[in-house]
Amino acid sequence: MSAPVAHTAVPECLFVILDVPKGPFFQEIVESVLALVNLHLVSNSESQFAILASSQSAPNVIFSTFHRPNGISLAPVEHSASISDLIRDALDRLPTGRETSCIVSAFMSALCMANKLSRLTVTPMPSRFLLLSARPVASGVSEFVNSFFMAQREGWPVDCCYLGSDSTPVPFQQAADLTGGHLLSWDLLDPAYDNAAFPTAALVELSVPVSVRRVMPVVPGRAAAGAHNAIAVDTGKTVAFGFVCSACMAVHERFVHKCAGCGTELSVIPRNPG
Amino acid sequence: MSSHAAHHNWERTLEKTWDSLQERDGRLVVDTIAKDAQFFAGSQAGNAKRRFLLRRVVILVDNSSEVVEERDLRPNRLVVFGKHLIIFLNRFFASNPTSEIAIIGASDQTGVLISPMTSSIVTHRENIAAKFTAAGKFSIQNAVEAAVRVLDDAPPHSTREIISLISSRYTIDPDPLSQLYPMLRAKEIVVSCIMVGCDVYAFRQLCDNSGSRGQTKGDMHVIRTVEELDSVLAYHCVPKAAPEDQRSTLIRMGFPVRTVGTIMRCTCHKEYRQSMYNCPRCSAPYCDIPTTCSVCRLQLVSATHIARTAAHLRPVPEVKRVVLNERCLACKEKLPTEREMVQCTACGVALCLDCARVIQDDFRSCIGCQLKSTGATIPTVLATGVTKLTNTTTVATKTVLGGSRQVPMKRARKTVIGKKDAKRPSADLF
Repeated sequence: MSAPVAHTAVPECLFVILDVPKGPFFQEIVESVLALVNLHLVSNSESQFAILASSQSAPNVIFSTFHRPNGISLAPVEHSASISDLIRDALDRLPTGRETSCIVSAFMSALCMANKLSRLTVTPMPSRFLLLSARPVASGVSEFVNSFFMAQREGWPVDCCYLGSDSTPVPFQQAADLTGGHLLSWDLLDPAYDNAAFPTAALVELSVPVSVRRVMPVVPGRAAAGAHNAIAVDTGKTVAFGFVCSACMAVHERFVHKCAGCGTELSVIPRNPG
Repeated sequence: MSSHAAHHNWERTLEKTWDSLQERDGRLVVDTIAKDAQFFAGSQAGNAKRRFLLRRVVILVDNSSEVVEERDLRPNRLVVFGKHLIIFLNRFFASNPTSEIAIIGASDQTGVLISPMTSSIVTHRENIAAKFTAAGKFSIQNAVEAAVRVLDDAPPHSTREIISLISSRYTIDPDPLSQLYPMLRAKEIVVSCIMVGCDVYAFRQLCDNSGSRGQTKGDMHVIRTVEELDSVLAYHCVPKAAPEDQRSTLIRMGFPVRTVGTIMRCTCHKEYRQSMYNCPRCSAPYCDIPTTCSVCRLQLVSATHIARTAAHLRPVPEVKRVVLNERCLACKEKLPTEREMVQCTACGVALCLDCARVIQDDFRSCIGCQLKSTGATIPTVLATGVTKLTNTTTVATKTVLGGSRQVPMKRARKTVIGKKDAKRPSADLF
């Protein structure tokens, strides 16, 4: 007896970007992602997806339904096993060892693919992104910001799942906030969490189509309260309000006569508001 | 604005795809010269060390009923203006999040405020849907004076711009247009015009006689197609270059904290929501930023908005056009025939035109250069079209492609959940 398949009104394209190096929890994370992708396909049989890996070896597309292998159709329930095997094989071949995060370039590549897909299809298919990372954004923060502004402009939500514990996921928090996505922050090393149970349920919650998504996820993320604060260039501290140079947009904690960012002489004293 | 669906073929835009084919060296190649204008429009501003980053813009739309019903832009000019105005607003606020826009409709020989000066796209969309209608005749003097009144409240550190979208070939004004010039110069307002179909001398004079200390005159463009309209609007999304000696100031801004979980009533819409941004000075809650606190007048932005605005100061990656049959590094697309592509001069990667436009307009950084900065392996294209890797590291991942290459499928791997060795997590987990 075949499982009932729910159909939503609009098919969506899901892009999953993995930035998880190989380790004890790698297989579990892969299986959770595959469960998410299968649920995504079940919700609408015309939906598409692509999985990209943040790897230092290009190309980094693990699998995409745009480049369909010969002999494999897109019927999700019957052929999901073969697609899952292909994905497992490809992920198994990723290099092991400690690498610098390339999630920014993988995200940029995914956005370009979504842009190309929106131009080629007769009926534009909305896209959504899932960034699954265990490493902070090491380089290219500016490019990362530009990328999720492009996603915001196009109306593509970016969900983030951060698995690290060494720093607060500020860029991922901002990406999720500005694009209308969700942030799941799951510290695999925190003894308060059950390490044997990766948040598959929370990840599966993200498979719900954007048009019918609940407001809050099942497992609320560890929201970084200071995620929208800025770092002052003159003192190096995080500030809640400060002075911004109109020439270079450098943030200062105190009023200065010379900008610490661009060196411009500031000739106008700011009006004291209120 | 009433919705108008194209029910008949003659209402749709005619696409002459055969016009773009050119013969080169005995082969048919898609001629991209027409597309280049669109491709480079967003980056026509080039690289500048200083720009007018904080902008206050009034969009002045000609809504006189005599001209907006014409069908040279399908289905008619009014519908096209409304649709592309929304596209322009999305693009503008994505690249200038700290700027604000107001929309004025020039109809019935007056200027009607359609949407007030704000950075909220939702407010603009609602107002365009409700108030974007055509009536009467066109008077540019009255419309510009209405725009000037809106710009009077702009802070001194921001630019004051009027972008006019005009279809009319004449204007009915109470006074000569030359009486506007001294006021525009004194208030440092820059007027730019986008004319549909033809160039009108009076409107060009208005652009030439407006300007500020940093920008001597406004821009004048004449468009005939929807693509040209898109291209010109994309050009106006990029902040104009500022002179090196342009005065600058420090602006007080607040970076609010986002709270989730407690239901509060927002100050801007008086609606109850679960997620709020609290003003750091007076703690007034707002549902969205950027905005200006109505209690303490502090401009509320996020650090990412500041970073996005400052991204315009970064140099755009230099590219050159080549004819290749290579896979685009960004979207992984490869066509069976040679086509016009773009090659980054810094890292040598090949990109298709669509991805090159996204990289120049949105990312402002090449994907290949970004990968190279992390020490990754990227395929570079030599002059002869041969692809090689930048180092001897072999590509570890195998991507299953459609059509070009057969990859033998390995035997299925069985993963039995629950029987894996339960290793204790170590400090060096990854």
